[in-house]
Order: sequence, then structure tokens, then C-alpha cells
Amino acid sequence: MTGNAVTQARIGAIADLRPRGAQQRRSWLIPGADELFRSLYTSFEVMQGTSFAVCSAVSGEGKTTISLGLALAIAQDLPDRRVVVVETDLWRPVLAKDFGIEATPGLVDSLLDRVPALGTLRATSLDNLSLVVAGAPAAGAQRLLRSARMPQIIEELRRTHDVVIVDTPAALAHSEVALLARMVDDVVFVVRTGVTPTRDLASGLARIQGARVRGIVVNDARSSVPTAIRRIVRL
Amino acid sequence: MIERLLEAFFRHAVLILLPIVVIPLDVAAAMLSTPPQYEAQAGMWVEQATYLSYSTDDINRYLPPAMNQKNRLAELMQTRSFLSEVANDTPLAPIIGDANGDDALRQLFARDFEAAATGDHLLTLRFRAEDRDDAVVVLDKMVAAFKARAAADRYGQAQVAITFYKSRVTDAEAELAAARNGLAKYLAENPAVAAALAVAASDPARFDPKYAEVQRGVDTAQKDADAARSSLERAELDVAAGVQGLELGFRIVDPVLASATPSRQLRKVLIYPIAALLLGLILGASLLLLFALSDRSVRSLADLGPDVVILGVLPHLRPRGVARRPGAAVTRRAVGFLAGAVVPLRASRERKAS
Repeated sequence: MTGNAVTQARIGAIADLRPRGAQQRRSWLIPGADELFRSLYTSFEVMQGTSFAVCSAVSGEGKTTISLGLALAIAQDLPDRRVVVVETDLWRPVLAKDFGIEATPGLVDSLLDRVPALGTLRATSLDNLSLVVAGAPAAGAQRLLRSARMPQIIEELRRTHDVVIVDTPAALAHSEVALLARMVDDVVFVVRTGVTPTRDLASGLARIQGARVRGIVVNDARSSVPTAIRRIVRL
Repeated sequence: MIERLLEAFFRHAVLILLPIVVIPLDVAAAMLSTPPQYEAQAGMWVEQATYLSYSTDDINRYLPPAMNQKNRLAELMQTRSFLSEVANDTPLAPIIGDANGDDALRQLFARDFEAAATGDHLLTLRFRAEDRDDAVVVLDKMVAAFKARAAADRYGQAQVAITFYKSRVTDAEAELAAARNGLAKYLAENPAVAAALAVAASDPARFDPKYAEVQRGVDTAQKDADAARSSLERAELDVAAGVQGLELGFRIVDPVLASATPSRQLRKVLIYPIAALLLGLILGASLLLLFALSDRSVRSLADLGPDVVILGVLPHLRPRGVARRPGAAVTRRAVGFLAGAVVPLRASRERKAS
């Protein structure tokens, strides 16, 4: 039995929400994005059976975008690897809405022991890529992420998937990120130019001290200065 | 810092450039919308600040004559009486009768009148008005009033000087007469002295010290009287020369003449917009500094610090074929599109997909 078959089998009763027949037609909407994310995951050598968290200091820095991009690039380039993206931002969930799917079952349901971890997996247009959305809003989200169930869920997903990508909330807004960062092998820290205050970057990194931070991904790096002027002043 | 300033400038270019462009344009438009004016001009040659050698209290010795007279005119312009005198019998006369006439008149002259000392001796007076004749009449009146004031001042000072020297002559002559009377009385009381005086080559002063003293008193009084008379004559001569010299040394070299064609003031048309441009530049620079200094966010890799491992740099992602303007959510969905994310596609893209 192939890995995909195992995953699909474990999904069991969960409906396959993939757009029928769409997987062949879909392509990257952003020209060159595949290469960008490919070079990104190559830079920190995604090993088999690895898990990493994508963190940032404040919200709106592109954690989910980069998590998705990395997951897609890995899943597309390495069809034999099973990749899952886990949305742990219970305060501002976006994946269910983005993919036009029901919010439940999600991570919250699994944390509350209503559904097994593998029961929350959602299939995507790519056979080897799954999603775990945050789920319906729940009271005491902080408590849920701090519960002993959270590392168990990560561990379960690691057993069934080759790459587990944990999309975390903002580190400075939620101290649970420090715990999540320690549950995974590596941490990728996202910084968005023009958004992340330099002071908050240092504070955010300090917040996840103890986790293995592989490095920083600079997102949305763009300069308002025209290229000609940049060349003249040698920026 | 240069990078931050450039970033701030190009990010907020519109806001920064707004005061630099709008303020000078507004000022220039305001200047051009004001009606053109005729400018009357007169040139006065000031040879000396004063011709009275003893009356120099009201001049500054370290300033040239033209500047002294300019300062004097500036002082006069601050007086109601002088302004009223100028405005009287001119088209400005109706302003005097107004309740706020004094202020209005002062503001009008402050705006439209100008006195400039060119070199040491030439004083140029200018007055602007919308009507050519009005400009000439007012400036003519101004020159006449200024000259009359100057002459009256000089004449008054001269009269004071003559009166002073006249009183000194009177006193000195009285003292001389008293001394002579004393000498005559002494000689009457001392016939021997009088007899000795009659003999040629004899000097009674050698043997009569009292006579010598009286004679010295007469000589001194005589000298004082002569000196006082001489001073009076000199003062009268000075006054005559001063009053006549005023005509020569304070003369109109360029009679009042107005420009044939109306013109906008160079100061208003050029200097004010330039000043506005400078103000705009200062405002723009202040805004630029404010934006640059208030931006504490990461703008370049240098802001991340030297010890940070950079895994990669993602440029600004621009989705193609998306119907909505790309924002954070649309970009995220565009990235996830491959996996099945819902993206509002443009009609052409949807057709292609189906």
C-alpha cells in the first residue's frame, strides 16, 4: 500500500473536498512562485519525517502564505512525500475560508478529543498534500494549545506524514507559540518588510527561545526606490 | 540612513511633494491674480545729512547721508501727522476720514511705499497704485512733505542757534561795558595814573598792580565780546548756508515719474513664490524626516542584524488573472490556488480553466 493510499484510508469518513477534475488544470497563479518556494525549502533542507513551524512576531506577516507555498512546493516536487499544513492560529483562522470548506472538523475538535487527529485531515488538489484547519471558534483557545493533546496531535501527524508544517499565531500576541515551536524540529521565522518592527523581531525571536530557529524568511521584500536610483546610490 | 530616507520619500512621494508643489503654485496664482500696478519713482540727492555744523545730534555719523535721511523718513512715516499731510489733497484723502483711517493709511504705505538708499547719497522713493496719476500725485506729495519737514527742522534748529549766540553777545557786551566803566572810575580816582598814561612810552601797569588788574579785566571782556560776535556771525552764516544748502544738497535729481505700462511687482511675482517654494521645501523635508524617523519597521536585510541566518527573500508576489485587486488574503489564496484555494478569477482565466 502506498503512502497516499494509507493516508486516504486513514481519512476514512472525511469527505474529499478536492475540486473534481481540477487538479490537472490548476497551476501556480503567481509566476515564478514555485521556484521561490522551492529555493526556500531547499535552503533549510527538508528531511523526511521533519516538522517545522512557521512563526512571526506580529500578525499579517505572511505565515500562512509561506506555509502554504512551502507545502505546495514540497508536495509538487516530491510526490512521494506526504505533506500536511496544520493551522494553529485559533484566533484568526483563514484556511477553511480560503479553500471554501467547512471549518469543522478542525484542530479544535481534535484538541477537544471529539475527532481523532487524522480525522481532521482535508484533502487538497494535490494527492500528497493535506490540511488541518483551525476549526470552529472555541472558548479558551490558549488552554487548548497548551494542553497535552497538542504534542500528541503533532506526533500523530508526524507518524503519517513526511513533512508537517505548523502555521502558528503571532509570537508576540500569543505565548503558546513558544510551546508550539518546541514541539517541532525547526522554526522558520517570517519577517515582512515594512510591517515587522525591528524591535518586535528581536522580541519575537526571544519569545521562542529554546526552539531551533533555522533562520528568517524575508517576505514581501520590495523597495519603493526605483531601480535606477538604487543603482546610482548603490543601495 | 540614506536608504531609509529614499524609501520614505518614494513611499510617501505624494505627501512629501504636495507642499513643495502646492504652496508655490497657490502663492504664484494669488500673485498673478492681483491687479497690475503703476509705480511712480523719484530720486533725491542727499549731499549731507545736515548743513548745520553744530546741529548733528539727530544724525548717525556712521551712516551715509542717504541712509540717515531714509531713517528719518521711516520715522516720519510712523507719525499720523506726516501721513495725514501726505494723504491730504490726494486720492488717499477719503481714507483719512474713515474710522480706521490711520491704520489703513499706515498699512497702505507699508505695502505700497518703498524708500531705498542707493549708494551714499541717492535716496530712491517709490509708490505703487492701480492708477498711474494716483501714484504720481501721492509720491509728489510725499516728496514735498518730506522736503518741507526737513527744511522746517533745519530752520528751527538754526533759529535756536542764532538766539543762543545773540544772548551770548549781549552778555559779553554788558560785561565789556562794565569793565570799561570800572577802568574809567579808577583813572578818575587816581590822577597820577591818568597822568602817567598821557606820557608816551610809560606804562602805569608797571608800578600800579591795581591798574594792571582793571586793564586786564577790560581786555578779557573785549575778547569775550569779540568771540561772541564772531560766533553769532558764523551761526548766521551757517544758517544761511544751511537753508540754502538744503536746496542744493537735498535736491530732486529724478522728478516723480510713473511707469507708462502697469506691471506686477517683481517682489510679488518672483520673490513670494520663491519664498513659498522654500517654505514648501522645508515642509517637505520635515515630512520626509518625520516619515523616515517614525518608520521602525524592517526595510532591508541590514535591519535584521548581522547574526541572523536568512533562509530566503520572497519578493512582493503578484498574482495573475485574479479579478480582485491583490491584497494579503488574495495573494495567500493565489498561492494556495494550486491546492484548491478559492480565488476570484478573471473571466478569461475562468474560461481557460473550464
